[in-house]
Amino acid sequence: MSKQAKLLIVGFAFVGVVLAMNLELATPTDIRLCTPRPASSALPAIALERGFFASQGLRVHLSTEDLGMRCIERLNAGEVDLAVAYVPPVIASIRRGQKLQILTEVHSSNRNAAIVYRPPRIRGPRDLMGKRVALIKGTNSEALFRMYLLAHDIPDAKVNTLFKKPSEVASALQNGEVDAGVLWEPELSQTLKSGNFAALESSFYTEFSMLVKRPQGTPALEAAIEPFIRSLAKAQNLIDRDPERARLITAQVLHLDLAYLTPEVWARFRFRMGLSAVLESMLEQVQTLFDRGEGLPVIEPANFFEPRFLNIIHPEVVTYK
Amino acid sequence: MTTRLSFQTLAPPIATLFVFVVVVGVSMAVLAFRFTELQRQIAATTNATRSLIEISSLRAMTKESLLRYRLSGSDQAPEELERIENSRLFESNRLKDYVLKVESNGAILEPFFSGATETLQIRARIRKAIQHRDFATADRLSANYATLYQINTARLKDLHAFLQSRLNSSEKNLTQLLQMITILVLVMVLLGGFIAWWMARFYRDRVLEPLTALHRGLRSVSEGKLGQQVERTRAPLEIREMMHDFNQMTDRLKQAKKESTEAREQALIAARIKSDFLSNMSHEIRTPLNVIVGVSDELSRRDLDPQVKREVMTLHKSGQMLMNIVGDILDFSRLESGNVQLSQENFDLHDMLKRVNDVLVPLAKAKSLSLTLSIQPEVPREISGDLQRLERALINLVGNAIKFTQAGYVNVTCRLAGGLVEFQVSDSGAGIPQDKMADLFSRFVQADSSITRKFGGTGLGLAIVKQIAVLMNGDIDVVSVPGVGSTFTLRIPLPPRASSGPSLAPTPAPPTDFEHSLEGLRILSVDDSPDNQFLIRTYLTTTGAHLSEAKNGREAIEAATSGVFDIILMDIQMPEVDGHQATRTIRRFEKERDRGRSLIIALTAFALTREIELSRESGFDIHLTKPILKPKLIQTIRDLIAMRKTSSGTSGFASYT
Repeated sequence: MSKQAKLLIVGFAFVGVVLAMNLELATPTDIRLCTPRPASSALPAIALERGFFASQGLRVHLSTEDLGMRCIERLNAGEVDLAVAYVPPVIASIRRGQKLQILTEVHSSNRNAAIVYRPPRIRGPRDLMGKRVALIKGTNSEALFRMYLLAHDIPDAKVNTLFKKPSEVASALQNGEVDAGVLWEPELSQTLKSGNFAALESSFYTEFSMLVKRPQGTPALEAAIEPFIRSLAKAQNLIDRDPERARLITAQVLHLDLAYLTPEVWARFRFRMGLSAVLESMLEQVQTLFDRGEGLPVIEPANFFEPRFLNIIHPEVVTYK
Repeated sequence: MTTRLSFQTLAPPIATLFVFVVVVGVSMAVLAFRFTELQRQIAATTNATRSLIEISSLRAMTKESLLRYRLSGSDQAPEELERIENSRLFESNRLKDYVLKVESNGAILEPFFSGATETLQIRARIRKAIQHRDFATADRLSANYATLYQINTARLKDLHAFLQSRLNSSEKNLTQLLQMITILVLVMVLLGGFIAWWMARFYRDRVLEPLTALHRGLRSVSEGKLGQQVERTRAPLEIREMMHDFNQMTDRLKQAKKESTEAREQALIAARIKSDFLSNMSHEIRTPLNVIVGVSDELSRRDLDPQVKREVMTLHKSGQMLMNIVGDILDFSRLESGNVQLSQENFDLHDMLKRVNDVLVPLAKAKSLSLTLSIQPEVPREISGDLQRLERALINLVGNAIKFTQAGYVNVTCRLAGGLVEFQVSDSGAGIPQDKMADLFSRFVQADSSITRKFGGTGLGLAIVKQIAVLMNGDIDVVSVPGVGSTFTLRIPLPPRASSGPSLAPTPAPPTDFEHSLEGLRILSVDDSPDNQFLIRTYLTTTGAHLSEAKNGREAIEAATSGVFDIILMDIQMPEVDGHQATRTIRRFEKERDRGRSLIIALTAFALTREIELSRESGFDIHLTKPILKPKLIQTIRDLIAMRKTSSGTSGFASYT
């Protein structure tokens, strides 16, 4: 064997050892993530399934809850590092003093929920007065309904609201316990499919889900936020390029029934990251709508936005200022 | 041969140009389309932004109008609100159109338009409440409206941000596109340059170099290298065909040259054979002729019975005629082969003309013709030239005229014309038909084959004259009228006699008395022919010379080395030792022994030029061609003896035929 060949082999061996050491040293960062189960959590679900997190050196442990409110509770309890939640629980948590940082929107929709009623007793908004309406307290369900009343100049006191658990609203409607109720997908489509109910759509309310974290996390977590958001951006690109494939992946990861996560339902979701003026406005208005004299402070939502990471990746979507 | 450029030749440049044009065209089309698209997007985004600003303004106007209406309760407010609402609706539709041009699915518009219906309804209710003076409801609704207004303001803000982002993106893309166009143009320039370089290289290697090779080949052929071949390179079909044809042509040229060389060699061999044949024939014919003419001449000089004398004279005349024929043939052969060198000697032209006239007068008289000679006064007497050949030409011309004239005259005139000496021979003969004039100076041609039968002759006379004229840079022409006569004009440039040159041309006056003319001379006659020995002995009997004889070269050497001879008459072709070898041996002996030099005369039937030259090289003093008549022989011997006495004992070389 020639001298040059020996040198070449030694060189390759050295490079191999260095690479192996680097791989050994590059231990992935573990991130605990909690998301609501609905399709609104598609971005982290796709990023996980497609290995976008892994390619960024992250090992994400995903857990799902029926309500975003529960994810916020787990975040505040320190059970997870990051949480995906909707506007009402986030603003409520902040007003109650929990320090949260809103990193980015991960979804928005104007048509994911509606007020379902049984005709003919109810035909329009004004007919809601004096009726029993089932809501889920402190959620998009309540926020949507209260904004609907506001838009149609119906005082809250004129409506008999009944707070139910998420799984109870549909059944309360079915068995006549309530005259109307706010449902979101997939219960919305399931209920309307029976033909006995109709819906009052309030597209005025925009629901948002957003990625939040507690401030001053560990240095490893802080360092992992940017690659985490990059992974979500990749998932967003996949949805734009191939929405049908994204739908299937989402259903698979979040254990959703494809019979109800139809392409039509899927089209109602907008998976856009950003820190928008509408999100800020929604946080403000929901704060007002939910202010029932509990003595909670009025906060400025923009103060809880953390645009630092998004500005690095997609500065153009930071529009709230 | 293909006359049009082949596909093979045209394909590479056409394909390259086609690809280049397609690449450039497609690239520019894509870029132009992209450029137009970006411009359209920028325009639509700008218009959408303007619409947004307009809508924002209208929203503010709505709010202010509602407030004024609330405060004043004027009846004008609803109309103003109606107008503003219509403007907002119009502007909203325009915004929708513009945004759809930017983002075709319109998803971005959904939040913006989602609350439009509800806010419109609230505004309508506010107006109604004000109209009914229900200000409490109006205030409550206005408060609600303010909430929704804030949300929609945020939506407008988001939409504006989106449009701004798109505008920035489009402008960035436009900048990148312009950079790309610049790079593409540079690439195209480089690519075009490369294509130009490649095509130039292609045509240099495939076309110009093969053509240059062909040109080199043609030049080589023109320089005589007939076998030149051109290597068939990677050239286009047409040029390869040209090369193939060129190589075939040179092959054929080479073959033709080879055949030509072979033919020339064969012709030279044939000419040499012919020359040898003529030489041999000349020798073989002249040897007996020498005896016949010489003996008959000697006999005719004796006092014989008249009848016998007439018979001897007839015999002598026939011998002379035969000798002339042989002379004609030899002369023509020498002239035709170009193996003749003119001599330059001084002589008396007038004497020469008179001598020719004297020679031919008997012939003219025999036919009762008048032969006159007229020499114009301006004709110089002393001139320089080849006496023998000029004399031969004139004898031929005048002899011919006498020969073909049955009655009348033959006039010879000599004059100067245009710096040339012009000899004009006119006769009153039968003349020459016009159709025979062209071939008159060709060999073996006479005007009519019947002439040969009637007049005899070889048909070489005029051809010889023509050859001599050309050889002397002169010319000859003829004017003839059938039935009237002919005039031959010979023009020769004859320069005046050189003042310092010796005159070697003997102008012997035919001796009339040979008795004791060679008194006391020791002469050795060398000849293997007893007849020739007899003739020489007969010639010299009464001259007073002491004659010794040798039968061949060996005996001649013995005699010459053992005794002393003034004159040696040496035959050339002899058994054992020929005349050349014998002469060389005698000359060597004379040199070794420092003896006086004998005068050796080549006396031979060989009459060709190369044989005369050979005689000079062997050491002969003079070359005499048989037949030799007694007067000429004796005069030659006397001239040689006289020249020896006047010079230092050596003599120049001369030949007489």
